[in-house]
Formats: sequence, C-alpha cells, structure tokens
Amino acid sequence: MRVTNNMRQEQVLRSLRSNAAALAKAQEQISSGRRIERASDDPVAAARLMRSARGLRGVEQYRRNVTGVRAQLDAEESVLDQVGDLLTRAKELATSQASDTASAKTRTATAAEVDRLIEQVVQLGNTKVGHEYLFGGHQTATPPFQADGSYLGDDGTRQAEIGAGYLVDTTHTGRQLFSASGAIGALTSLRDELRTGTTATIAGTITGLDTAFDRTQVHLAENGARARQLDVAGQNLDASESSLTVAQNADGGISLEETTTRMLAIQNTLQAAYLSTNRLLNLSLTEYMR
Amino acid sequence: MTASAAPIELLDTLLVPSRLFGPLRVPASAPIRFPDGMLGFGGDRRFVLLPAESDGLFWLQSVEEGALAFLLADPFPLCPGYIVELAGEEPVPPPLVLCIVTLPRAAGETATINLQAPVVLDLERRSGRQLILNDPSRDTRHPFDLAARLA
Repeated sequence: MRVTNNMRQEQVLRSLRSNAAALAKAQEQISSGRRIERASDDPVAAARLMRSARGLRGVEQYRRNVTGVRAQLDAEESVLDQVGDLLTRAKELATSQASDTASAKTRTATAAEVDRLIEQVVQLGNTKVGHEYLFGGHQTATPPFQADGSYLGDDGTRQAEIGAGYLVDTTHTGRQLFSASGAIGALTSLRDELRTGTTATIAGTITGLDTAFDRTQVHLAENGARARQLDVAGQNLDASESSLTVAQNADGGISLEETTTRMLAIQNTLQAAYLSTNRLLNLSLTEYMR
Repeated sequence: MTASAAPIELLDTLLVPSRLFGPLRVPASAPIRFPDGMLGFGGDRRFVLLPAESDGLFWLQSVEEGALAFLLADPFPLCPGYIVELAGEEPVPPPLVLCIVTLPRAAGETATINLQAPVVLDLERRSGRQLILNDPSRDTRHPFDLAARLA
C-alpha cells in the first residue's frame, strides 16, 4: 500500500491533544491552592540545555564503529566493482578466442593476459583497510589468498556492534566473494583451456564467467543494503543525541509526579502523560531554538 | 521526587523514567513494541508515543532507557509528494508514518528530518518498526523550519 499522508490518525491524535489541554485547565483550577512548581513559573527550573550523553550507553563508541564499518563496506563495493570488470574482460577474451579468427599464437598471448587477471583478483582478495585484511573472515592479520588463488582465511562472519546488543554483518568472506562465487575458478579454467583446450572448451568457460559475474552483482546488492542500514543507524545516533540536548534541569523542582498522580484520579492515564510533557515541550524547544 | 500526598494507586500502569520529561505514568497497554528496535538501538524494543503540543510533532520515548527519546515529525506536510510504499495489505486503520528529526546543533542551522528511514506505527496493534526505503535518493537530512511549526 502507498502511504501519502497521516490525516486520519492526525484527527484522532488532535482530539487527544485538545482533551489533554482541557484537562490541564481543569487541573489548574482544582489545585490553585497548592504550590506546584512548573517550568513556566520558575526561571531556574526552565529548560536548560543539558547533554544526557551518559544516558546513551556508549553512543560515541557506536558512532566510531559505524564509521569504521562504512569504510569497510565502501572498500568491498569498490573491490566487487573491479572484480565485475575483470570478469567482463575475461568474457570478451573467451568469446574472441573461441572464434575462427583466433590462432594458437593469440590464445597463448591471451592465456598470459588471463593470468594477469587472476593476479589482480588475488590482489583484490588481499585488500587491506587500515591494518586489517578485509576478506579473510576472522583472519585479519595475514593475506587470505595465495598466488594460485587458494584461500587461507576462515568463514567467520565479520560483525560490528552499532548499538546496545545490536550486531550487524559487515563484509563477506573471501571464500564467498572469490572462491564460492566461481570467479577464481572460472578465470583459471579459461586460462587452462586457452593453453591446452579447443574452441569448444574455451567457449565452455563462458557459462562459468557469467555465473561468477551474476554472483558478484548479488554481493554488491547485499553490500548496498548493509551500507544503507548503517547510514540510518548513524542518523539515529545523531538524532537521539540531539533530542536529548533538550532536557530539563533535574534540579528544577518540577513536581511532575505530584501533578500526574492527581490527574490520574481524574482521567485516562495516557492523556495525563501527554499533558505533563506538553507543558515542558514547547518551552524546552523554544528555549533551545533561542 | 516523591509525592507528599498518598499516591493514588491505579491498576495496569507502568512508570516510564523519562530523562526528558520526568517520570511518566502510562497505561500498561500504551507501549508500542518494536520487534527489531530502532536502527542502532536494537536492544530497546518498547516505546511510548507522546504527541507534542504542536500538530505533526511527537516524541518516541523508550520505556526501558530513560535517556533515549526521538523527536518525530509528520513528513507529508513538510515534503510534498513524499510517498512511503508498504508491503502487504492496507491495515485498518492505516498506519502512522513519521520521520525522525535531528535538531540543529548550532544557531543558524536548521532542523532536519530523515526521509530515507521512516518509522511506521500501528497504533491499534501497538507495534512499530523503522523502514529503510528502497530509494537512496531520499534525503536523510532534509531541512525544515521547526520554529515555524512551533509558532
């Protein structure tokens, strides 16, 4: 369904707001004899800007984690783009060498080029961000790929904590991206067939190259989704922190509990909660805006 | 803060120790359940929605974490043409779709609203979730005039 407005709910919520306002008026009349300190009465108790950073458990650390993971995801995206380009190049070569215009000489030369493509893929697999190898699973201290394309890393899922108990997957393992995807395998097959194969067997490697390319696109989509998720988590960290700078002074003598317990006897408790917040909210925000 | 008069006991309420508003007593049925929490705050799953005094502004206050509160705004009047596509059938009544406000950090800056990740609330079933729209062109920091809305 498409949502283009909140008009129906706003009607309901508007009536709740006006009920709460009416209730406030009634309550003021009832308790006129009592000395209830309110933010609007007492300048000292008026909303002061106060950073409640301590209350947000470790938000600074989470922010740093978010930034760090973003860098890793950006690197992974770049690597996947380049792998895609290398596979596309390999397919062009396979197609041209599987045709009648190819000769033993051209195939030998092309095999050497594909060898260089494999080298580049291995290099990409050994990408480092900072001091860590990105694609070794949990093995981040040593290069995960050997020159022949074999994978020395593990299958550990890399995760980061971006909130209290909130873990997100970050980058894929080298095995997922380069081995299981068939990228290294397809390139190796192509090189071998160029050296010792026939037109038919060279053409036969194209399917493997296509599959590997498709899998690369899938990984790119996963990477993109994770990056967006991370961006929003970072936004939320910013937003909640900024909301909390609008907090009243705890020493301000705002006897909310007195006010609310009184009003509970009169009316629905949720409306009472709206009421007490209304009194503070408008003042808090306008103070802040000044 | 303790009341000097004997507090009137009410059944089925709970106390939300809001750092922003002080202790709030709400009906036990008031909290809205977020099965996945808010992005970046996965551990906090229950929130109460408090309408602010101005139309189109709300606070989403965590029940468990008193210092966690989001300011939400109705995005549709602020961004003409904003559409949120939800999977599945239209629930009755339709959900409330709000976006998170980031307040300005310094004088001269404006408040912004995150259009890329709206919060969808089903007030009937008391459930909510934050979505990421499949449209990266939607601004996570769309500026709007908060002061004008408060006037």
